[in-house]
Formats: sequence, structure tokens, C-alpha cells
Amino acid sequence: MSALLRLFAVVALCLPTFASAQDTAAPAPSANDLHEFTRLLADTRIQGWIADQANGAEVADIDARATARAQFERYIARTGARVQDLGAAWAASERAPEVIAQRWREQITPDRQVRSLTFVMIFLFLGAGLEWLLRQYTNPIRKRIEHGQIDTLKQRVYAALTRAALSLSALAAFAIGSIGAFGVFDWPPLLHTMILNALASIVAARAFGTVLVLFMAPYVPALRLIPIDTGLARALSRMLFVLFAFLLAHIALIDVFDRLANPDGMVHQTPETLAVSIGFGLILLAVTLIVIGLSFRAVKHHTGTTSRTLGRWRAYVSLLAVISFVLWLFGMYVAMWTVILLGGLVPLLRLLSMWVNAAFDRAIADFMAKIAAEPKPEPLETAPEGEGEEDGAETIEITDPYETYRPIALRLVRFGAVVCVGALLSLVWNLGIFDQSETPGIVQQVFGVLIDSAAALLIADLVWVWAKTAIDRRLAAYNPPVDGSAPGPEARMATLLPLLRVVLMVTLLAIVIMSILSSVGVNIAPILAGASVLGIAIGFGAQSLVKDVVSGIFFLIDDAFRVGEYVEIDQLRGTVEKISIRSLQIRHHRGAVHTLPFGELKSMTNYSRDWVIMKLEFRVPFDTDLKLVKKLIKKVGAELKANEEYGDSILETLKSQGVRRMEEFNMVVGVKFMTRPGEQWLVRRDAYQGVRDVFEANGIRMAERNVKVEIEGGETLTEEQRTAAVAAAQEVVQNKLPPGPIPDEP
Amino acid sequence: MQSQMAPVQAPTQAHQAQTRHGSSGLVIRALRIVSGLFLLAYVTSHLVNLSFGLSSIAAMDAASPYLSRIWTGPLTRPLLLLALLVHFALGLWAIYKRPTLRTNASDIVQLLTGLFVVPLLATHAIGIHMVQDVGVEFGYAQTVPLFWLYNPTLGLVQVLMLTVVWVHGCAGLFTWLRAKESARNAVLWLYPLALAVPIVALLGYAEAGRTVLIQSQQPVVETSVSQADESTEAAAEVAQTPAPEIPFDLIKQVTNWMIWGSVLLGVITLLARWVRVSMNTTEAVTLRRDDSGPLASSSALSLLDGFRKNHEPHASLCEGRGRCGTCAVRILHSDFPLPEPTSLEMHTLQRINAPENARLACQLVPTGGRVDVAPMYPATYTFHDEDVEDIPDEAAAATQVQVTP
Repeated sequence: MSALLRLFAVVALCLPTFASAQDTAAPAPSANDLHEFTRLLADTRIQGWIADQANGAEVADIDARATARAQFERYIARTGARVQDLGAAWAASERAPEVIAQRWREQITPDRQVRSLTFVMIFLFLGAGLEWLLRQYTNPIRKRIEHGQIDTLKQRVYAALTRAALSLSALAAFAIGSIGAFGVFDWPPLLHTMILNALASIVAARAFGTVLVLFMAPYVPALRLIPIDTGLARALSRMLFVLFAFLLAHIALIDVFDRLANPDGMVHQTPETLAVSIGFGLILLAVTLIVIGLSFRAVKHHTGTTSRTLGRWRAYVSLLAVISFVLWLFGMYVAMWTVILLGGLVPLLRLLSMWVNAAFDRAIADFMAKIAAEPKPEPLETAPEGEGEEDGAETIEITDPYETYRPIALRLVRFGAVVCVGALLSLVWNLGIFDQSETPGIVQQVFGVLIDSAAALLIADLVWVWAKTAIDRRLAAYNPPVDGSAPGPEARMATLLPLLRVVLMVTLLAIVIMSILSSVGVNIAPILAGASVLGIAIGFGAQSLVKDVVSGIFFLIDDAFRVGEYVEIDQLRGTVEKISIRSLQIRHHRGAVHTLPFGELKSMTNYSRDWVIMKLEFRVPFDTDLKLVKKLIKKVGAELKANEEYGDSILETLKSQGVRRMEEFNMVVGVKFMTRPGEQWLVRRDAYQGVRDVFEANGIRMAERNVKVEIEGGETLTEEQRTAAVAAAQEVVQNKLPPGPIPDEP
Repeated sequence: MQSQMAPVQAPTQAHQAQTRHGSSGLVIRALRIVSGLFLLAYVTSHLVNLSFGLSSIAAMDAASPYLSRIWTGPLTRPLLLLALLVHFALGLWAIYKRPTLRTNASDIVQLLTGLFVVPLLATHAIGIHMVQDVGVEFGYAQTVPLFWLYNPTLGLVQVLMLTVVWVHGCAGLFTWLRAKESARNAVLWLYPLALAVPIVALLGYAEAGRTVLIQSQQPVVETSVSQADESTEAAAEVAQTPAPEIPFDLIKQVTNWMIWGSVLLGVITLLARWVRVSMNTTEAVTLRRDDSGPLASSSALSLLDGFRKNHEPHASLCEGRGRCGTCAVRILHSDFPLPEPTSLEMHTLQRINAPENARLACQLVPTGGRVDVAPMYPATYTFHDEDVEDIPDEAAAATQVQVTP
């Protein structure tokens, strides 16, 4: 752990404040100290003094903020001093090696040197031995991972991670063995620095190598996470490793020379060490440029791209390296880190998005291969995995199981990269900017605002993209019902989702604006208070409106009605024609349109759900053959079912229920059928017609309302008397039976 | 199982009868293992002696007759020398015969450490023994100050030598053991031991050195010795025991002779190998294994080396020494007739009950053209797998099918 911290300090040696902050560690205060402290705090004199100090500090604070110009001047002065240092270093460069060598001889006798080397050998042997031992036991697992069958992306990631974990644990064994054994002994400071630097550099370089192997897997294509071919992976990982090793060696050596030149740590850098470190820096720059050139050549060679963009990127990266070097040379470490981080962000984002896209393409290809393999093999669909682009693009159109996730993953990765870079930048700026100033300068403030705003925007963007893709996907999947057919359950989503989208956008915008304002320094509390007062006022004023909207949302969620359904609400019936956010419009079958706010709806009846039973009655004379009736009705039912227009909509066809009741003059035969909602009217029409026809054909008469006038001793009536009697009966009947109401139906 | 093996035996034996031309491979293998084991036993014993330094230098000296000198007695010393010579010579011969030097990491380590052992060893072994032969008492009490105080460079060389020797010995031992199915449990227990022995020895060495160094910090009597600083071994020796005459020049001469001689031998071997390889005209070979496409190889490489060159994983527990038989393949097709198996290969093939058309990929060097093979064991195969039984069964079954018509 301490070694890692130390390494960190070494890495950050360009940031002296950071290193010193790491080195000084104070013991925790005791209970007594704390008691004393609280007693002092309670003292009024002390309080008064502290208050005075605080007032003074505030004034100083304002001063420090005001003098951006002074800061700038100081910066210029520092750079000037650095340039002078450089001049001195140039002058000293001739004798630098001798001076260093002399110091080296002064501090370390040859015997001591050799003995420490002996110890280092022993440590290395111990570390390597432990690692070897661990590897012997984990080798079967590693072999199984490397040679195993890997089909899906998930398996690949899992296997690669397991392998990396194995490598890292072996590396940890090495580090514990070597650095741990080293820590047991007492060392003179210079040797301590030297050996620790060497061991830590070895461990760090190997850790970097493990990470490279995790992503590039130069020798096991099945475990490769980055979509590049084997040759390129080998070349790239080799070159990146060399570059990193050089960087580490550079840092470790400069640290050692620094320690050598001024063992007390009094002076920052003597001209000699500066000269040497510049020499190393030049070598590092040369190595970097060579590696960049070779890497791009390898990319060009292995991917076969001939476009000019590659050349442009190469120029860009090389330029970045050169600029960083120049900034480092002039001691502008903060600017150097900023250039490296921000400049690196652009290609990093590009590479990451390419990577994510390729990963999705591969996952889709895997998915397609699986789909194609499962059912009957279709030669067109089975896209070979290696082929990639064109086949993938074709199959994507069929189904893309990851359509929603791709933009989210892209944003997420971008977000992560930007946040990491931002965090690093803020670390650099806060620690390294204008060393002495405790108070934040203007640049820092602006920078902080930018970081905060960028974070807020990125998060909002992430949420928005996710919601928008999800909503649009649902909406795109919704097909508006064709005329006449009943709408599916998605129909209500078509109503709700756009609303949701707008609400989300407004909310996100509000949040982002608020957080940007607050990071700029605007006090948003009054805005929030004002908004909430306004909200309450509007809420009270538009109570019924709010009620309508809210209950509407719940009606929609309950799926109580859909566009096109036939519903009854209180006394109003009709087809739902339009659902808005506040109200519902239903059209009566005679054309009248009713508008109902959702807040008014207590209960409603929906006639268009799932199925409808319709019952019909026929009146037949008492002497009818009921078995024949049953048979005939069954026949009609079969005919109805066979109808090609509405036959499919009949769930249970027409059937006789037998005699439902007896009336004064006839029997009532009940029949019923079940259809899908909306189809029952047509079926009923044909059922009536069919039954009447078939009855007539089979000599079954419908019972007709007739009046039998029985006259006692009527056998002897004359023709006139008979006529008169009939007329009288007619009159009675007509008066007795007024016409019934016409049933109300479409 | 018995019934399945019967048809296998007949053809293999017939095969063997044809090719009983010399069993030099087997003899060399046995010699190498025996000499190597003997040397390793000596080194282990010597290192255990060294670890007594954790207690005191006196303890080291007290244990030395039982742990170190017993190996260098009148009877054992010629034996030890012989073993060293044989092992070194066989190693050089193996390097000379190697088809390729680009093999796996463990082999490269074994090869390089093997080359460096003798030059590193020369000063230590010759110096101490020749001084002892003259009759001077030269135990640990004299050696440790020499290595830590008077000539630390020599001390560093000792640590290097210990590392190199031990790594070489362990590489050989474990490659040998891994190829033996019966040793599969023992290996697991030997690993920690193989680490513990040198580490404890090194710690003993360091502790003894520390004691000496602390003593030297105390008011010193031997200032004259420190002044005679550029202390070769000899200078220290003079200071310690001036009594009998020590032939320093002779020691130096012999040591130098041995160092340069062994280096020269190594260089000559590599050169000879280079000449041999460049003299041989190689034909292009195309390998086709059932799970991988055509792989480019050459007639200078064995099948196994061909797979390795193309980074195609292939089972081989003994790293291509023809011992374990896990690299065995069934030959499905070959454009040209393949060379007959050597007795070493026959022996191993017989042991694993291989079918008639099976060959060891590590021993078979095709002459050219296209060769189609099917591996008999999966690339991840180890003796620890419980499926040891299955695969030979399957192989036998395959043979039966081929033999019955």
C-alpha cells in the first residue's frame, strides 16, 4: 500500500504540493487534546479573537480574488525563472553526468552497491517464486479459460475478466513477495528510493501489461474485448507496453537522480539533474513519437484503411505529445496535464464509441447466429461471425434486441470518460494551480462551473436519451387501428407517452438550469421558493383541471377505455372518439358528441371488451315440434359460423336454449350466441332472417297475436252478428295494447 | 477394455519390429534424467546446509559434513563430476538437435539457465575444492566473509548462480514429473517445497552475511585486510590462513579455462546448430488440424512446433520431449510418406495404447506437403482431469472401426 502511495507520489512528481501533502501525516489527537480544544472554544475571548481573524481573512480573500492580474504576473515570473533554470541546465549539461556519477560515488560505495544488488536479487527471487507457486496452482484454470469454447459476449467478458484477475493475483503475489521482503529491512534513504522505485516500476509495468492483455488478448483471439485482428493486437500491445515501460523508467530515474543530487530535499532541482531529466524527457519524446508512428502504421497495415483521417489523427496525437513536452519543459505542469487530458479526450471518445458500436454489432451477430441456429436452418440468415458489417446491417433491420441499449451505452461510456477526465482535471487544477494560492482564483471558479454544468448536462442527457429511446420505441411499435377493428392495449400508451416525454423534458431542463445557476453562484433558493408558491397557487386555482388530468392518467393506466370502444357513462353512450389529457369525447351512434372531463367520471361501462352475448326470443305456437326447432336453429348457427364475413368473430354460434317461458298464447323459445364486441348486430340481423326463413320452410309458424272470440252458442250466428262481434273484439284489443317503445340501439 | 486393446497391440508390435533401429533416444533420455536428478539432489542438500545460516555460521559448518561434504567425498566426487559433464553434454546435444529455439517460456528458461550454470559455477566449485584439496580448512566461517565482506561481487554471483541452478533444476524436474501420470499428486506437494528450499537458503545466506557485516562494524583487528581491498578470493585467503601454500595461479587458470571453455562450447553448439539449420533445405508443410484451418509450417519443425508457431494450442504435458504422449495425433492424410517413428516414440505410443495411425506430434517431423491430423487429447488436457479414462477409450473405439474391415 505504502509502495503504491509512493508510486503515486512519484507519478505526480510534477506536482510538488501533492507529493508533500502525501508525505506529511500527523498522529490523531488524543481525548485530552479534544477536551482542551472544546474548553478553549467555549472561552469568549477566544471566540472574539477567532471572529476578528475571520473578518480579516474575508478581506484577504477578496483581495486574492481581485488580483487575477497579479496571479498572471506571478505565473509569468515563474515561467521566466524556469527559462533561466533551463539556461543553467543547458550550461550544466556538459558536466551533468560527471556530477551525478560523483554524487553516486560519494553516497554509495561499490561494496554497498553490490550488496544491495544481492538483496534485490533475493527479493526478486522471493517475489517471482511466490508468483510462480501461485501460477502452478492456477494454470489449469487459466488453460481452461484460454482454450475453452466461448460463444457469447457475456462469456467472453467474464472469461477475460477472470483471466485478468488471475494475472493480477499472481502480480500481487510478486509485489507482496518482493516489496514486502524489502520493507522488512532498514535502508539508507537513497537506496530505499532506488530499490523501491525499481520494484514499484516493475509491478506497475506488469499491471499495465495485464490491462493490455485484458483488452487486447494478443494470443487468444476468443478473449479479445477490443474488435481488432490478432496481428494488430500483438503489435499495439507490444508498443504500448514499451511506451509505458519507458515512461515508468523515466519517472523512476529522474526521481532517483533528484534524490541523489539533493538528499536533503532542500533545493528543487539542481541544474545538473534538470539537464539529465531533460535528456530523459527528450528520449521519452522520441520513443513516444516512434511508437505513435509505428502504431499508426500497424493500424494501417492490419486494417487496410487508406483514408486520410488516419494520417490526420497521427499528426494530431504527435502534436499533442510535442506540445505536452514543450509545456513540461517550461514547467507549466498544470497546462501540460490539461492539454494531455483534454487532448486525449477527443480520440478517447471516438475510440470508445467505436468500441461500443462494435461490441453491439458483435452481440447482435451472436444473437442472430443463435436465432438462426435454433429453428430450421435458413442459409440466408446464418451470418458468419467474422463477416460482420453488411450481413449485420441487414439482420439488424429484422430485429435488433439491443436497439434501446445502444444509445444509452454510448452515452454512458461517454459520460464515464468525461467524468473521469473531469475528475482528473479538477484534481490537477485544484492541487497544482498557482501553487501558493489557498483561495480559488477566477480561472478555477470558471473551471469549476464548467465541470459542474458539464456533469449536470451529461446526466440529464443520459436520462433523456434513455427515456426518449424507450418512449419512441414504444410509440414506433404502436400501429393505429385500422377502421372498424378494435384498438389494442398499446393505444393508451400512444396517449400517455408523449405526455410523459414532455413532462420529463421540462423537469430535466428545470433541474439542469437550476444546477447550472447554483454552480455559477446564483442563489436558487428564492427561485425554488417562488416556483413552489406559484405551484401552490396554480394548484389551488386549477384544482379541477389538475383533478381531471390526474384521474385521466389513472383511467389510462387502468386501461378502462380505448379509442374506438363503445362505452356507457351514466346516461351517455357512444364510441370513444378522442382521449385528450383532460377529457374524453364519445360519439353517440346517432352522431351527437359528448365531452366528459375525467374528473367527472365515477364509473363507466365498456361494451367493447373481449366478448358479447346476445339473446334472442322467438314466439311459436304451443303445438310446435321443439326438437325440430332445436335442429333447425342449430343448422342456422352452422350457417352463420360459416359466413366468411363475420364467421371468425363468432365465439359461440347460435344455439337453442329451449323454451324459456310460456305465455298466454304461445311458447317463447330462447336462442343465444356470443361474438366479439361490435359484431353482434350483424350476426343478430342474419340470425333473425335465417331463423324466419328456415321456420317458414319447415312449416313452423311464428305465433301471431290473434284474438279468439268465443261466443256461447255461436253456432247459430248470422254473418252480420259475426262481423259485429269481430269488430268489437278488434276495438278492445287495439285499445288494450299501445305500441311499445322502440329499443334504443345503433 | 481388454477386448478393445487386443486389436491395437498387433499392428503396433509389427510396426515396432520394423523400426528397432537403435534405442539411443531412450538411453539419452534416461541418462539425462538420472544425471539431472543426481545433481538436483546434491544442490538441494547443499541449499539445506546453507539455510542453517539462519541459526549461525557455526551451525552451517557443523551441518556441512552431513549435507555438503558427503557429496564431495572420494567416491561421490567423481560421480558428481561425471553427472555434471554428462548432463552438460546432453544439454548441448539437445540444443544442437532442437528444430526450433522459439518454444514456450519454460523451455527457453531451461535452455538459457542451462547454458549459464557452468560459467557461474566455475569460480565457486573450483576455487573451494582446490583450496580444500591443498589441505586448508575452508568452511563457511571463511566463505561467508569472503562473499559478503571482502568480495561482494563474488557474493552476488553466488546468488545469481543459486537462482539459475535452482530454476534450471526445477524446470527439468517438473517437466519430467508432469509427464508422469503417477506423480500427479506428488507434484502439487512439491511446488511449495521447490519454493521454500531456495528461499530459506537465501535467507540463511543473507542472515549469515548480516552477522559478518555487523561483526566487521565492531572495532576491527583486520584493517590490513580491508586495505587489501581489491580482494580477489586469493587476497582474502592469504589474510585468513597463511599456513600452507595455495596454488592461486593454478586455481585462476583452471577457473578461467573452465569458464571460457564452457562459454565456447555453448557458442560452438549454437553456431553448429545454426549451420545445421541453414544447411538443411526445408520444404513448406501445410498442417490441417480438424479444428483449425491450414497452418503454414516447414519440414524443419515437428508437428507440435508447427502448432506452436501458429499459436494453436495443443496438449503437451512434457513440453515436447516425447514422454507423456498427450500430444498424440491421428494422421488422417499425408501427401508424402511420413518418417518411421523412433524407438522413443514407439515406446510412448505403446504405453498410451495408441491406435495404429497415431503419432506423437512432438516427434513427428513431416517431410513436406499437406498433413491432416486429429488431436487425441484436448488442448487443456491434464492428468488431473477425471476424464483420463474416456479419451483412450474413444481412441480405441476409433481404432476398432478402422481395423475390423
